[in-house]
Amino acid sequence: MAAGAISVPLEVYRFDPAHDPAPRYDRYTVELEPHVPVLSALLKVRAEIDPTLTLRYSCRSAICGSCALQINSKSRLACETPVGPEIERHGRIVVEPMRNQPVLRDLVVDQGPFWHQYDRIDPHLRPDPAHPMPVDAPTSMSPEQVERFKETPRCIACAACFSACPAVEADPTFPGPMALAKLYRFVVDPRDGTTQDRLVRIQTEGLWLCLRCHLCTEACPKDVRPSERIRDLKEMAIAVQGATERGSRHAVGFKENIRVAGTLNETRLVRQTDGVVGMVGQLGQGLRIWRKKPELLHRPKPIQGQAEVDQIYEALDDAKGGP
Amino acid sequence: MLTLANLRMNDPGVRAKVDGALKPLGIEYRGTVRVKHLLRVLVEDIGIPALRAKVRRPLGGLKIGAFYGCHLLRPSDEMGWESGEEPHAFEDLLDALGAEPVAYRGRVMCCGFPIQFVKPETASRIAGRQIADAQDHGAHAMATPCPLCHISLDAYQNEASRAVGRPLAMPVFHLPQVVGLALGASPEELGLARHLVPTEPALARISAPART
Repeated sequence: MAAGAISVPLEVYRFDPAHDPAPRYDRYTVELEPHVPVLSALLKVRAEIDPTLTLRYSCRSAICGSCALQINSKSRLACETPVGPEIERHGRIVVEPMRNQPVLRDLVVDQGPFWHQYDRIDPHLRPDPAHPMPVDAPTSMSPEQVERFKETPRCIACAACFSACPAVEADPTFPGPMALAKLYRFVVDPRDGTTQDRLVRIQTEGLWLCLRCHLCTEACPKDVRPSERIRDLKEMAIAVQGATERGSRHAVGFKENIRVAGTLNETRLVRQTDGVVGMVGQLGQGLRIWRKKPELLHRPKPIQGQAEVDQIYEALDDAKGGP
Repeated sequence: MLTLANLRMNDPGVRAKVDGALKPLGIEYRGTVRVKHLLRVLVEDIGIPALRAKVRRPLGGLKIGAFYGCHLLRPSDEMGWESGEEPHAFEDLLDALGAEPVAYRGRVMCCGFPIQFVKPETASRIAGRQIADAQDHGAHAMATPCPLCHISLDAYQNEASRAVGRPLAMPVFHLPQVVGLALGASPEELGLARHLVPTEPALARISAPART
């Protein structure tokens, strides 16, 4: 054992859908220094113990985005996740393929669903045909314009966010964090000529299914902060189109609702989001809840200082240049 | 959310907007009110040893799946306390109360509530997965510091069960309720009758004798 090396017990997901009836976990132990990344541990296993272990990697420098895996349930790049802290916290390292994409073999997934979602919402530069970009000169952007999307070009499309996302897991109509972050990038790109269309279209293409759980931002190795870009998209979509979808009606309804009494009227909020007809559909559910929590049926009394709340709303709406 | 609002106050543009709205009322806000969640106060300010000493009715025998709620943890670099994916404060607290915390992946996941009014069937599928995960890992109950998670996990558990196509029977406590129970408060005082999923089966699991 090298000086400073620790014992690293690994539990590695193994599955060959063509031959295995079910996945299994193979255990290996390698000796490594704590700063060595999980990818190196896996490569050592492959070189010294089991040459059939299948994994995908290339640059080993957190640039190519090939080696994203689940490491002790966290979606991470294997090449920049050191073994030491994982052993300290868990006593072992469980390595599994990324979630939300079918396993081809062992740790390699088919990224088809990830790229399908990306292609579907077209996060590519679409210049305005009326103002074509010059072919023989660079298109310039001000530092302020670039500042608006400084995070998103860092994305290396590793799909860690897609793997970590519970909305992707539960609903095939959600585009996923990366696709939306990339879309944001072109919505605020001054060279793009389809901003308004993009914002209108994305409202019915899954934007409002983001849960705001920030698991993508937590998983992202490049600090693109997809959940925050999705929040920006929602704000811009409401600014362009108003509250037309259930998601935007709920957001705007919340804001208007508080204005009335300075506190939330939950029953009214449901009506603002779903309309009266939608509410009737939820009546059975509503009755069960109201029976246990009858105070929800009462219209809340305006708080002391409600007039001031109203004034604050008015000032903020004026600042935006309209209601 | 209030922690993040405070952070946004560091942006000069946001601050100017807030100033503009508050000035006519003679109010000023500089973003300096310290925001701290009850869970954090319990663990950091009161502390695990002090809490342990106050327990009158240890929750021994009761296996609880802690369910953190996203906004208590993430984005972790802005919330600035626990790991966003591998926290332990709530489990430490449950342990101090005599309960047995259950390890399961769903504990840091989303409850589905944010899209309950956007697409209920997807929201319920997400809630159902986390409840089923806790159930499969032996939890007799779940506990959450987030009132919206509580709505999703308790009030909508019927829908969650239907969405994942399997029976679920998981009492869900609010954080103050589990603390209250261990400190000797009665189920009536804690409003346990107001839950949609009955909590009696979980209470019946408590086997440790009360201390006087």
